[in-house]
Amino acid sequence: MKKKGLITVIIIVVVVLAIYAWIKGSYNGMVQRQENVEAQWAQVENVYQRRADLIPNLVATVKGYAAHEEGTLTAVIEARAKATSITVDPSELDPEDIARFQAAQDQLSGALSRLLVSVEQYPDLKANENFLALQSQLEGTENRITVERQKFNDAARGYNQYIRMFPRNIIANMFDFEKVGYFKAQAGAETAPKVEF
Amino acid sequence: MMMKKHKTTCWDKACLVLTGLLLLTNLGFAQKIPARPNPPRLVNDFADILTDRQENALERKLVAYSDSTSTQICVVTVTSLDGTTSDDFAYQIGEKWGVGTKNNNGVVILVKPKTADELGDVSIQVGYGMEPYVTDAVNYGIRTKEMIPAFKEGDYYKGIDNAVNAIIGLASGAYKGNKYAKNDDSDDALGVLVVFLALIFVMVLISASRHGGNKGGKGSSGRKLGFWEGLFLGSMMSGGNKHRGSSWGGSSGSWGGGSSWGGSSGGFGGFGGGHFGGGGGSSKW
Repeated sequence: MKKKGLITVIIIVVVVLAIYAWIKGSYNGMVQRQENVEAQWAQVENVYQRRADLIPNLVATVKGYAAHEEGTLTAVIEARAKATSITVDPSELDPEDIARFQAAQDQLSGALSRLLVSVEQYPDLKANENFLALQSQLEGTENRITVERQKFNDAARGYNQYIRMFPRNIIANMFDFEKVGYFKAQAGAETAPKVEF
Repeated sequence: MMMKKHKTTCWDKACLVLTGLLLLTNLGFAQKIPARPNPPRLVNDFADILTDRQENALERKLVAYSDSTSTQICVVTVTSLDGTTSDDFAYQIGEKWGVGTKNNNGVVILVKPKTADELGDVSIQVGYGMEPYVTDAVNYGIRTKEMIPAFKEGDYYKGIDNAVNAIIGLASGAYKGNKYAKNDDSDDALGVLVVFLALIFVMVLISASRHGGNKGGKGSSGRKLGFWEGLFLGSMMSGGNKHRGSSWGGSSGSWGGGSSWGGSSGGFGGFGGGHFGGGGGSSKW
């Protein structure tokens, strides 16, 4: 009789330990992936900020040569102001927030590409060293944006899959781990201002 | 006895499945871009636009630079970009081959030669750690002033060599090489040895205490020790291999084989798992 009680206690202890180990492993795995997603989001914001920082310089350079492009330049400045005003809470990364962020940034991409097309008519500007340097920086930044967005999507996908898998989703629900949004490939969004030399 | 044997085969199977999975995920990467060269090389002339002599000269220069500064400049030539941009192609090579070390100090120079019906395309992608030294504007200058004029004359070697020299000049002093890091390596090995010895000691203690507690288990515990010893010996050996294969931090351990190549002539030790963020650009001619 006494032995039986002991065995029951041992079984309970083992089961409790196993559940604890499972919850701990799942929870820590989620935290780790979440951190990863947030870090990758910071990278995305970095590269977009890098682009926003290039624009005032670009606009100033273009202005000196292409006085007739007032409308295109204004569009770029306005799109930049709008894009930099939209921020996403990195601890939430709500899909709708990301969609709005992306829409604003894509609008800026569009305005920039129109500007770069319109400057084709100004040979003096295209020969300007300063402008060429800016253009190459812009090109590199667009590359970086593509790469960091891709990396963010990969991290987000990994995290989303992890928290949605059964039975881990129970723990995810318990501790409020929520699905994060992705960047969606839009028609034309991937064709960043193409700069041909 | 039977039980033990069964256990080992199960373990073996698990290992096999795991390696299979790893291989599969690696294959998933390699749809478009060429497979990582084995033995590792910094100059990969897939398009065959360099002579053997030029290739070796370039390889020697790049290996020497990699040895002294740990910065890895990888030159790749291809005949086709497989439908993607040269920037993307070069980025993928950099990221998936792991060009550079943990400082992310890798550079990929990708050249697609000009053909009768296609423009030539050159991309220089720099790892995160190289972005401050090879900025986009400088990168553009290298491509348009150092490379393309030579490429237009059909002298691919000159163009690539110019670019390599320019990058070497820009990044000099940025990172310290592992040429003098041999001491660190042996320290590492010593640390590993100490840990193993400690583990063995603990194991011996455990088995001794069990031995004391359970007289009937004499034979089985003795065998257990043998098994663990074998395991330690095995992992020690694989640990040694890893060290020889330089600081290869990636997921594929198969790189250790690279050490046998080159020997005393100081061959390239292997890529170090550097990461790329899309910095750099491309030009056509």
